[in-house]
Amino acid sequence: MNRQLLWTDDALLRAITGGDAERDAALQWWFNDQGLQNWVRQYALQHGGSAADGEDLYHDTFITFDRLIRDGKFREEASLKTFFCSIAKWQWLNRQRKMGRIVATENAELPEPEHFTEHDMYDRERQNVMERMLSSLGDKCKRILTLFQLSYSMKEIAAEMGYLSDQVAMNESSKCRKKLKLVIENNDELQDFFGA
Amino acid sequence: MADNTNERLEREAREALVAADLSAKMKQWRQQTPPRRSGKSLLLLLFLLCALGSAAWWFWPNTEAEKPLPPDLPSEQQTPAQKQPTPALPEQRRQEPVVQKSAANRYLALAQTNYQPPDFAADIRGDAPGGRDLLDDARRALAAKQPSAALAALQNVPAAYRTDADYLRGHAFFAQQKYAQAAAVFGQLTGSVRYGEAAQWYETLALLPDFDRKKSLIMSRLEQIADDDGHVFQQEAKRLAAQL
Repeated sequence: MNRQLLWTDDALLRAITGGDAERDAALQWWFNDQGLQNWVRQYALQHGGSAADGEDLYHDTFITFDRLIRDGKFREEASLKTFFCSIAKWQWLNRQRKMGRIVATENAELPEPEHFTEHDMYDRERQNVMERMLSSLGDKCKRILTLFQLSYSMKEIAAEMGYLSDQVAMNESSKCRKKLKLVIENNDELQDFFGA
Repeated sequence: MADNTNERLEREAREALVAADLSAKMKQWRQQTPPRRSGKSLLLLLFLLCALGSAAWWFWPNTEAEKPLPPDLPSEQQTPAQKQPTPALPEQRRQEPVVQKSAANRYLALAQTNYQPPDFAADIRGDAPGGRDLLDDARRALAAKQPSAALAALQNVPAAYRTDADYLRGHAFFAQQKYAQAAAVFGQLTGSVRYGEAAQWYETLALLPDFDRKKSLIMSRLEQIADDDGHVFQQEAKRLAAQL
């Protein structure tokens, strides 16, 4: 449920990096911005994409946007909207390059160099490889590791997972991390894909 | 090098889980509420309302100012409110001097504010055999903020439960503000499978009050925890390092 009528950039940043219900509320509010959705769709259409490409681009940009904020890569030199649109442009460029399409753009259209790399961009192929590997982890470990990556404290993980104490959460987190390590070490597809 | 690659892959794997979770939420959001209009139209509406309100306040006729002032009434005709003498203004309170905390107090405060004890009560096992009931006694005492009672209970814990006892002992010392002893106890547990990461963190906190003498050790501990992508107290360590 959105508790705030209007989110400022500062409030959004705090909520997105903070975890719990506020994070979901903030992201949902951001996601539902019709202006941003239209902008991204139009950008894809104007650069040789279809309506479906526009939807995909919005989806991928949104995931990258969330990650970059949590990684502290938003430098507050411009607004969050500008940042979001910049990510969308880079996502589009990367996508087109990976598909082998030559992207003819005027220099003025290229997004400003940001403090992130191609690797920071959401990549569907990489995501698919990861999800195939992660399917063997089980729902419980997937959930714990998700919360762990979102910087939930052990107390918060215990509350979310219904554990009696944060010590139990710590033990379960540790087990899941070890399980993940083993899965990674034994996964040939992953090792090949990432050249490890 | 292989270790670094695997650590990176672990992090990427966890990010992939977050991405999958977010994807699922986006699907739900699409089905739930229609997209909202941009906040610009809402801001414009708020601005117009404020402008109207200001205009109304500015131009509203102030009839009160035009009324002639009533003549002063003789004292017998004054209302009770008018008869009451104007109370003397209370003496201004002396401003308390600003107490400048010494640097030592600052590090002590940091140690105390960053210390979040585990939920001792939740680990109580109930009727437990042997030394475990002594551990439970210690947990109850710590949960009730009675560290002395906890230390007393831990004195007779058998060797088989020594690691658990030491962990609780460290917390008891911390609660008694015996930070050097707490640091020593936690320091011995950093290699423990069960308590290792927690012990690293709590040892670091217990060293904080002695920051001036132990600065390089504390910063090195914090860096180690903050750089360990899998560490359960990684975020806490990053926040504390930023405060120092």
